[in-house]
Amino acid sequence: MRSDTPELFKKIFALSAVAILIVGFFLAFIEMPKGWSVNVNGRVSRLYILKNVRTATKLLDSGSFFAKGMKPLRTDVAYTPIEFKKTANLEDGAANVVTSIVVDYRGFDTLGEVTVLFLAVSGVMMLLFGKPRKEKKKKTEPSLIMYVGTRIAFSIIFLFGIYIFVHGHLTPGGGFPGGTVIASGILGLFLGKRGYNPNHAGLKSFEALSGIAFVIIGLIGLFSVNSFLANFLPTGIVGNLYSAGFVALIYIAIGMKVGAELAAMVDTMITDTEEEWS
Amino acid sequence: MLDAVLGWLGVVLVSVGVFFLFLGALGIFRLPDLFNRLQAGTKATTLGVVSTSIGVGLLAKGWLPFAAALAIFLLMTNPISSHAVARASYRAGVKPYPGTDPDECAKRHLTIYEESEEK
Repeated sequence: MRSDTPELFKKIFALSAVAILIVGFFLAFIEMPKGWSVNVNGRVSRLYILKNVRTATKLLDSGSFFAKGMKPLRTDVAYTPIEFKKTANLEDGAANVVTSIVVDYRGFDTLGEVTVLFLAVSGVMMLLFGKPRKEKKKKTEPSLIMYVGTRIAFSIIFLFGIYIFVHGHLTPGGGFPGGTVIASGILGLFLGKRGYNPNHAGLKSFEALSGIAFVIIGLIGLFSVNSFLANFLPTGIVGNLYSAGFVALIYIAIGMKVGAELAAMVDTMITDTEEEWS
Repeated sequence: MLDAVLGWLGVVLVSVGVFFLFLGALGIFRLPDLFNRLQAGTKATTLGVVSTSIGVGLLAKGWLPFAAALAIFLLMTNPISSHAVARASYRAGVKPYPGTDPDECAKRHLTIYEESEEK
């Protein structure tokens, strides 16, 4: 479809947009603060700046930790190092700082990410569902090795996926990778037996319930701490399994939702390309 | 004494594993067709990775359970996935290297296929 806007206006608009971007970039570059300072007394920054806590403490005490021109923002608070399995009552309490940011400080953003995945999956299912392909592939029954092997591997993969999202606040990983691992195990089940038919109603209700659980946890935070998705549980000792408040709960909800969603998508994609069998 | 023996055993296992991983990589480059490459990429790397992980478990105390779990999982899944890939590509019509003689699978595959057609 041709638009009625003349080409000249388009060119002028594009050129001015590019010019504004370039000028803004240079302005931001010039206006950046000179020198650099790090808030070493903030609880979160201490956790991920000082990897070796004891050495850093010694350096801080001797006054040689900071580079030239670098100074702590706060000197009124006494410095105490953080140690795993000992320090309690931190701001967030998650040993994995990335998780504490993704789920706690930016929990609303993660709710949006879950919605993005949901929208993508529902788009794929809307395109594929109920439309059999014109050329159906002739499929033969998978061998016995695949049937038995995928069934044994599925249990281990399922357990590993659950481990990933339950330990999201301690180790790398979290709800999205854990759910994807579970969905890959279910894909193995599809490859192991032709016409494998999971419980569709179960998958859908599981996904919906875990999505609702995410929002309900957020609403509990809204009513108890006066902020949506606020951490309303005690944070415990950093590094323990029962720590970081509601981060583990949120990640369990996300993992179940992502796993059920991707499994449903795999189901739609595979059953459509497969020949109807009686 | 025991620690030193276990440590040297670990070094030997890691060396064997690295050698077999190298053979697997070499086979993927040098062998003529998909099935031979799958064979190199699966058999050699299964032994290589299992041996390397067990050797690392012997060298570093405390990592042996994790290394054993990894080795068991690899021993279980690696041959299965390779079998699935080889079977699927054979059924999809990938021609074996002409030097593969005799093609034992062709006759058996043909009879099975005819039986399933008759049903």
